[in-house]
Amino acid sequence: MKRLKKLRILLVDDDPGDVRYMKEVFAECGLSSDLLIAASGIEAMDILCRNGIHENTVLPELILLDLNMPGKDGFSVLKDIKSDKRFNYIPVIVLSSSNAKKDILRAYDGNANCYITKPNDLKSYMSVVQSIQNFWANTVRIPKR
Amino acid sequence: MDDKEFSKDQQIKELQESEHQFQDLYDKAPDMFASVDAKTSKIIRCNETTAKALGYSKKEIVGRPIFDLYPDETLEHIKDTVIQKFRETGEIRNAELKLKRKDGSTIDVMLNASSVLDDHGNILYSRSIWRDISENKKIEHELRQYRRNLEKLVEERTSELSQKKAQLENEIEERKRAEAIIIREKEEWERTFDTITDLITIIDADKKILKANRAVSKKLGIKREDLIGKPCYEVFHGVDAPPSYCPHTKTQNDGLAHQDEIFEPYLNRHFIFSSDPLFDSNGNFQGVVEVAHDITDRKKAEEALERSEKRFRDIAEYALEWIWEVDIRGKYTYVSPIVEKILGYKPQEVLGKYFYDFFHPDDRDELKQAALEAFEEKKPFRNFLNRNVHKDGNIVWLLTTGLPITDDKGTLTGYRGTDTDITESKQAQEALKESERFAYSTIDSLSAHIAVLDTNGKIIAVNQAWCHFADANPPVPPHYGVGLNYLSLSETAPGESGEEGPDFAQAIREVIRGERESFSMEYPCHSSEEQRWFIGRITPFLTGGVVVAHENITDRKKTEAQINRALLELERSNQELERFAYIASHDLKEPLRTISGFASLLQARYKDKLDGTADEFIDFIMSGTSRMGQLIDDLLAYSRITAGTEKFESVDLNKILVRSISNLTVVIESTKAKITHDPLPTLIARDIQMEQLFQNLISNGIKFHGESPPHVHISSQKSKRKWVISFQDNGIGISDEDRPKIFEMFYRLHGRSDYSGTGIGLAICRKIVEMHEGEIWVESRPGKGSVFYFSIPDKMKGQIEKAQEIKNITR
Repeated sequence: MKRLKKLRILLVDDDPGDVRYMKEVFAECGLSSDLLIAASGIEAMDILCRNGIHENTVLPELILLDLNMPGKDGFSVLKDIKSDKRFNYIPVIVLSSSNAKKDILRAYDGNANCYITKPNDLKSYMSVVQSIQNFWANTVRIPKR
Repeated sequence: MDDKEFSKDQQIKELQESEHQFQDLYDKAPDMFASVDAKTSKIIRCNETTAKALGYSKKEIVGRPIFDLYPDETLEHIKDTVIQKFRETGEIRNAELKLKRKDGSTIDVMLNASSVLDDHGNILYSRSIWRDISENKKIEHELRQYRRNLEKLVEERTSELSQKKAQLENEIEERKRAEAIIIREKEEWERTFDTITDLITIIDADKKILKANRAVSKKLGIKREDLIGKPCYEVFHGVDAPPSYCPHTKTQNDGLAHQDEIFEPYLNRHFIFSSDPLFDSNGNFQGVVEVAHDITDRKKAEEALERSEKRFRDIAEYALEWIWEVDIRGKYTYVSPIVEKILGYKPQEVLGKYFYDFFHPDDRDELKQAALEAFEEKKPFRNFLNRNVHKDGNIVWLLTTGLPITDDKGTLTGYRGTDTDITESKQAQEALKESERFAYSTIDSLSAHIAVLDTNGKIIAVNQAWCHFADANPPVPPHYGVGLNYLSLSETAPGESGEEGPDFAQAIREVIRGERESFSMEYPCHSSEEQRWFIGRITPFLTGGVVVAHENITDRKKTEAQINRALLELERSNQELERFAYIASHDLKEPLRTISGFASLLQARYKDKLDGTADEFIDFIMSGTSRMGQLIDDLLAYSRITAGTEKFESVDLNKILVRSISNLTVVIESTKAKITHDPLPTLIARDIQMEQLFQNLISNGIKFHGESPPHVHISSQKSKRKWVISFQDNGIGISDEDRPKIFEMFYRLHGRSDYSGTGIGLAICRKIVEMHEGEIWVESRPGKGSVFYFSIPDKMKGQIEKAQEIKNITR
């Protein structure tokens, strides 16, 4: 079995349940990801800009971005990411509970790299996570800085 | 008393003797004596003769007033004349008077009276002597009478003679006059004889003409003197012997007068010949007087009359007009046979009736009056319209023309004329009138104010609503504007409508010229009391003009404004509702996913590590959350079916079907379902909604299958205005009582254990179909399967969008 490459992922989600659940799914999948967590849009930007306490943080290789957040929402974060040359190359996977066409279009409009609807059951969740691992870690080439 | 020596006694004796003698003399004297007291006029004394002559005794007379002896009628004369004279002269001489006898008769007397005076010369009494002269008087009277008779006789003789003379003279005069008359009459007769236009000839027994009047000579063209002596047959008939019809011969044979009507070919004329015999005083036949009356003209006139009468009859019999005559009271005296065709009565049924007997009872009195008034004035009348009743009860309209008939003196004797049956044209007229009334009452019943304009824009008619509007909005133009030019009225319209007026006038011109089919314009026309709006419509009229209709649409405008407000409100609330539904379901899903996610984790990591009850609980949580998720998804889907985003377009249902089947691959494979279909149409519809509709109905058909594998057959049917698409399955079917409820939201017929589902699928179907102006229904037999139908109007794209817009607004 091919050894899985370990991806450094920034998960932006305000819902602690979802965050924990994502961690657990990764665990269920047997993936030990290096998971950075931002509980809000602002925190996500602080991390990426290495502001304050994040001064020494290494930039993630992949960003999982929730859209529906209080304060600075996912779209705003997406826009900031994609308009900043320091990190606009980092693939952004929008992971949202919304199935609305409108949201999907808007996300791609904002140069999201892909859009995934949060699955309802564990199995699907696990397959999503595995897909991400297979694709983004093992298949595509991502620029490294 | 010769001797004075007589003794006293002697003397006395003598005296007495003398007195006695005297007395005797006195009494016996032939004359009547009487003495009358001058003072008392009473008779003092009278003699026997007096008493006897008057029929009294002496005693009866003495003491009586003298006037008692005179007849009353003579008293005045006696008192005034006789006595007066006596008083003056003291005597009366030979006065002829009358005395009255006791028996009342009178006697003629002659009175001589003298007076006896006293010593002073006063009259003491009178002495009267009456002599009876009655006998004298009588003789005298007779004598006088005799003389008178004699004179009379002489007179009579004389007058008789003069009378005779006068008579003679008279007779002579008379004779002269008679002679003059005779001469004149003779002349007159001769003149008459010649003046008479009849041909008169006097012919002798040998048929030779003795005398002929001028008419003969003129008619025959022969001088009178040449006629005399000629045989009558020669000159009259132009032949040598009397013809067979010779009236002269007849009269000569039987001595009687004859008369005959003859056509004389020789003269080419008709005559009435009459011949009268002439006899001498001994009764011998002398000849005849022949009178020939030329009746040729009369004959011709008669023939002409006959011809004209025949012509009249022919016309009367065959004319389509009914020809009639009535007397002065209007009673029919002649009717032509055509009356039967017109009124249904035979001529003999009409004769004797009055013209007004056939009038319609409603009009009878009035028409009769009018006709009789015309009679009164002896006026001819023309085209007098009257309504009559046919024998069969139908109305017959007649147009009557009549001429007065008058006699020689100009007195009206009746009327004659013709009646024309105009019922059919009258009926046509009535129908026309009726339709006109219909048209008028129709436009009058309209609420719009309507004016009809001619090609110049002049108002030629308006309806009632127009007039009422004018009344309510003074000033009212004369005749409500009829006759005025609408264009100029519009162009100079004051106030608010002034802005639209010229545009409206321009539009009218364009419609009149045919440059526009019609025109309508909404405009405000506020009065002082209220805000008003009108719509003015211009439509071409068949005469080349236009109909202008203004209608108050204030209510509609107000309603429209209200609706618009309500619609805006509704739209906002709909939008809010949709957003709410979306957000709600979206936000609901977050915690639900968390629950289901961790429940799954629990199940994955701790199954069989906890006790059996815990596993069971975790299962309940799992199934509850999954059902909840499904519900939210369906609700979301339901709320997303809106008019908003998706457009109507041409949709090929065959392609829709393919996509739907592809979406359902998993279910179809797992149930081994068979999906078949007939060719399906292309409709104007919303693509995605159609896909959802098909998908729901197919999956519905598959889901409720019985023992055998499900089979859904899709077919279509075109009716007049719509397409009906049917989905037939072989499933469990639906009972009658359940059928109406199945399209309601969240309605589930079956337990969750038997058939899954949220009860929203068919509600979504219904919503989609309704958004397409269609209907959805189901026919089913439990155990045999169901057929779901939906219909969609077969509209052009534009129409549906329009309909949809309206629906959206009113929704």
